[in-house]
Amino acid sequence: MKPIVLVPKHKLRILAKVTAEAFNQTYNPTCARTGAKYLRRNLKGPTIASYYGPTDFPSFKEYKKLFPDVTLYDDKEDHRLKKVAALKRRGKGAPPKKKAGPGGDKKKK
Amino acid sequence: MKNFRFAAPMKLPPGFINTRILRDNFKRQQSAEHEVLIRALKYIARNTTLPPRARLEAQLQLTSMPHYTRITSCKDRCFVSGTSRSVLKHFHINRIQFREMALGGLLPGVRKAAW
Repeated sequence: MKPIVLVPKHKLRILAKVTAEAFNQTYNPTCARTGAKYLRRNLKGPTIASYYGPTDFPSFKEYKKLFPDVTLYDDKEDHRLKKVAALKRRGKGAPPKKKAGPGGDKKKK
Repeated sequence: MKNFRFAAPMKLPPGFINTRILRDNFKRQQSAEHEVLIRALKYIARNTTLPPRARLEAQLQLTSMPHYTRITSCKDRCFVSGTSRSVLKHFHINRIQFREMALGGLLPGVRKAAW
């Protein structure tokens, strides 16, 4: 059996340096702070910015423009129109426009 | 669209919009935009092998940046109701909205446990 040979420290350091050069690693024997961890971390920006969904997500109007052949039903818009019609029936609609003149009001009544 | 309310123009998020959601969305977009710059400045400031003057300048530039450029200023909010409390991270929904949507069958793969 061969006796265990202790390798001197300075030789080990040289070996570490040579291996770091060979394998494109950083040789930092004094453990000096290089700030490399700030560059190594993954960027979080895209996931953080898209938390509420994509900002270029098409709205219902844009969808309608994209597919003019398809009949699409907008629930919210339909509800709004029904509400406006109901208010008008009760005489609570929008006031008549001033452009119609002074007689415009009386005619409608 | 002109956004005089915020320091920089912002794109509106789809779906539910709330004042607080708008604020948070602004912070998110700004922090995403400035992330690379902040990383580079941090690298310079924390690097002990660089000259101290450059490190100090980088640190000063970091501290002079507005707070809305920080990722830590973002807060997860429910994107259905806008509340900030008890928001489930995986779904981005508040617990009450989550319960209602799950019971309504709007969340695929989620069902009420029974044993």
